[in-house]
Amino acid sequence: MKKTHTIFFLLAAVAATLFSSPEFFIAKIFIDKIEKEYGVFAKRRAFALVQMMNEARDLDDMGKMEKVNDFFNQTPYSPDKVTWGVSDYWATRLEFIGRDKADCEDYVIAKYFTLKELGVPTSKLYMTYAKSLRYKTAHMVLTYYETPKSVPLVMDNYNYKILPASVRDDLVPIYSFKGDELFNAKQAQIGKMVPAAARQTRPWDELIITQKKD
Amino acid sequence: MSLFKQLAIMLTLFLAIILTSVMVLNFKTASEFIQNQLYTDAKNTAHSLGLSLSKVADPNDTSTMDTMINAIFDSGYYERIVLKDLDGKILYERKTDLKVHDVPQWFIDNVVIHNANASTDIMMGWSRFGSLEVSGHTGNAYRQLYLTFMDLLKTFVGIGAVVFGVLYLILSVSLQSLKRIRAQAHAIIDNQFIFEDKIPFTTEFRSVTVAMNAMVAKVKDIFDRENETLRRYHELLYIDSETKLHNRRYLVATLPDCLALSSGTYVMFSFDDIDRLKKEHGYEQYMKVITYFAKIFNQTFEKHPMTLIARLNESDFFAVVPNVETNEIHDRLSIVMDEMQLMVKNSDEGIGDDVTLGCAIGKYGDYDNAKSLFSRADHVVTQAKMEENFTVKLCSECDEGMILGREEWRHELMCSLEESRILLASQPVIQLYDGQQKILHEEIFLRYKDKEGTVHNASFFIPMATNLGIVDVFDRYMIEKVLERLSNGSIRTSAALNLSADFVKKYDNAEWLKGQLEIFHRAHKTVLWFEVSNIIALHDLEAVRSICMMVKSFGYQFGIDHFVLPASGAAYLQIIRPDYVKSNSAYLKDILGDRQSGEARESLMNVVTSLGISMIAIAVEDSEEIVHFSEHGIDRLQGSAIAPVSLL
Repeated sequence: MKKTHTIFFLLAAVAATLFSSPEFFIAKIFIDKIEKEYGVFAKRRAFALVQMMNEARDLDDMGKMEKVNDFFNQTPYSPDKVTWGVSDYWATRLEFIGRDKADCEDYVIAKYFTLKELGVPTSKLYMTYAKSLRYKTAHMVLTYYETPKSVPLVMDNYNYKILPASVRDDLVPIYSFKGDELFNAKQAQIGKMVPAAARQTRPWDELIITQKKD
Repeated sequence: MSLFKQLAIMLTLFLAIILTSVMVLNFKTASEFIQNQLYTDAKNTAHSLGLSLSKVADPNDTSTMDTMINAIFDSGYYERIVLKDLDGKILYERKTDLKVHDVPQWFIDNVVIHNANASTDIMMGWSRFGSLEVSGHTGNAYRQLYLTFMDLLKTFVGIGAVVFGVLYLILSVSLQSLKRIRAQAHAIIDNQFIFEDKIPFTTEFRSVTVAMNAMVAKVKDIFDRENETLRRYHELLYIDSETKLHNRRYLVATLPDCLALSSGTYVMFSFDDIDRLKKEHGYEQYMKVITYFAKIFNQTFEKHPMTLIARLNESDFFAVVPNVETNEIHDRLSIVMDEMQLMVKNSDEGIGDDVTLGCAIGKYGDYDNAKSLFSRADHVVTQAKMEENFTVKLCSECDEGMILGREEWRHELMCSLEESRILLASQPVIQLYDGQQKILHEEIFLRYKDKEGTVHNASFFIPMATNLGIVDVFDRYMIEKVLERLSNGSIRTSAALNLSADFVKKYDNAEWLKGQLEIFHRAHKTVLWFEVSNIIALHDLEAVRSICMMVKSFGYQFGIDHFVLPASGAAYLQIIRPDYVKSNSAYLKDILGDRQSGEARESLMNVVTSLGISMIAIAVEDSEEIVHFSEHGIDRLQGSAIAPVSLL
């Protein structure tokens, strides 16, 4: 019986190795860059992000969303005016990790790119403009549609739990965009991209996290 | 192809490629911009309309949505707006066809505008309702692109024209010097000595011009030196040092040509015992008498430039006046005698008794040779001296011509033309080549057949025709007949045609000949040879030069017949630049046989070859002469030793 259990565990370990996703890592050059620009704590946060991604890489969509949502929601909220000195600034994931401060769009961006890298289909991910009834402010959340017709799950930085939109009475949806589409529009707005052109020049995902090739 | 053309083509191509490329790139940029603009507009509309539709989205009643779509579609410029549900089913659609009135169809057919759809999602609360697709209208894009295209085209055509014009000017200016270099190069090939004074600005061209100038200077120097040597030799050999008239040697060398060509009058003056004058009255008195006589003797024939005048020996003077009747000269000779008599009489030294002068005048013709003419003249002048001092005696024994008056001659000659009694004869000119004889051309001669059927040489009637001013009629007749025969194949080789002085002088004749040659040249490849006699070349230099240029322009050959180097040197050959000269064998033998220095022979050949002229020996009488000439490098020959003149 004991022998049977040993064989079972060994096979399970081999299967896990064979069928699991490749491991994420950050090249040394980027680690050095993060340390140089934002300091040693930022470097640790980057390592923590990679560690989180590696833990989440073989989970289902829900598992991945929970991991990612929890990870980024640890970062304290700070308005753009305070963090960046301007009324509206969309930070990249690198800037997010580096500064360790963010506002609602920054959470959405960081979560979106991380989930995208973890293999969650972008067709299911929407960036939704909403009104926060509690704070009476314009807000943005990342929504996940299991199917096109299903009620979306909301990833929010006000309420850390991932809940169906139907129970989020504190939010009034305004309009939703596909993730990449909205980035491109924003890119054009800040003058870094010719409107409608497919070439994106601002590295939204400049924190390059790659997967090892097997 | 000239360098100018090559550069012009190259630069035009280059310019065309640059301008076309820039135009295509500009057009492409404009096209991309317009397409992006089209997409951005569509996208903006899609988002704003999508946001508006999200507020009224109702799957059970889309009428409000339809109305909103209508309002946007009708008030804007769109090709298509479609509302779809989540399954892709079309809920509502508005579209319009592409119609653009002010853009040509070819433009629409050839320019592709990618009209990308802008799509957005319609939300219904947190749920998705469907999607909206918006396509902007390409008509406006086509209109904008077409206007841009036309503007670009006009601008670039304008720029192209201006640049090409400027380019043409710059090339013309900078290649001007090349044209002069080309002209100089052509002149060198043509043995002309043109010195280019304008040294080009461009370094490479400058080097070429300087080099060619140096070469031209060298060749010209050689020519000048040889010409001077030849002229000095000529003076030494053929000029009488006391009177500066030609000497007996010259007369003997050139008389055969003169006799063969013409009939006319000869004149001989003879002093009796001139040595006695020298001994008794001294050299000064002797020279006074002799130079005075030489002067008035020379002046007597000024009107007849073709006259051959020579001093045969200390006491005898001879003149051959071609194509002139004795009675035209007789009176003038009496005046010479009167002037001499007066001079002797008025002399302070009393030389009257020691000067005895007689004169003979008579006719010569093609029946004469130098020997017979001299002996006849000698006989008559002796009789003259015996009769009375200062007598002019007319020799009447040799008069074999037809006894006809001027008008009768005119009538007879014109009749002979009409009745085809002017015949063509020819004699081949050959070139020796590896022991073989190759015919260069047949020289054409005219023959006159009188009413009795006797055929006479040209010298029988040409002097009279010249006198009557109708000799060019015979030239035209000969040219027409020869061209006709060459055309119909009855003459198979090249033909050489002699042109008379009257023919050359008249501009009408040159124009007529040009017309004839233009017709002949178009139809036949046969090379024609034209020649004029040396005396014509000397006296009508400009007319001969222009006719020579005209003949050469057809690729035909031009030559000088009966060439004898004149006292003035060979400069006239440099001006006319004939292809060949024909010299009488008597003259050539005299020059080639110069054993004293050999310089004359060298100089003659150097002068002739430096101008690219070939030498033909004529009147070659025997095989010894053939050998003699070929030993001296003259391999082109004509004469009875080769083949006699025969009727065609």
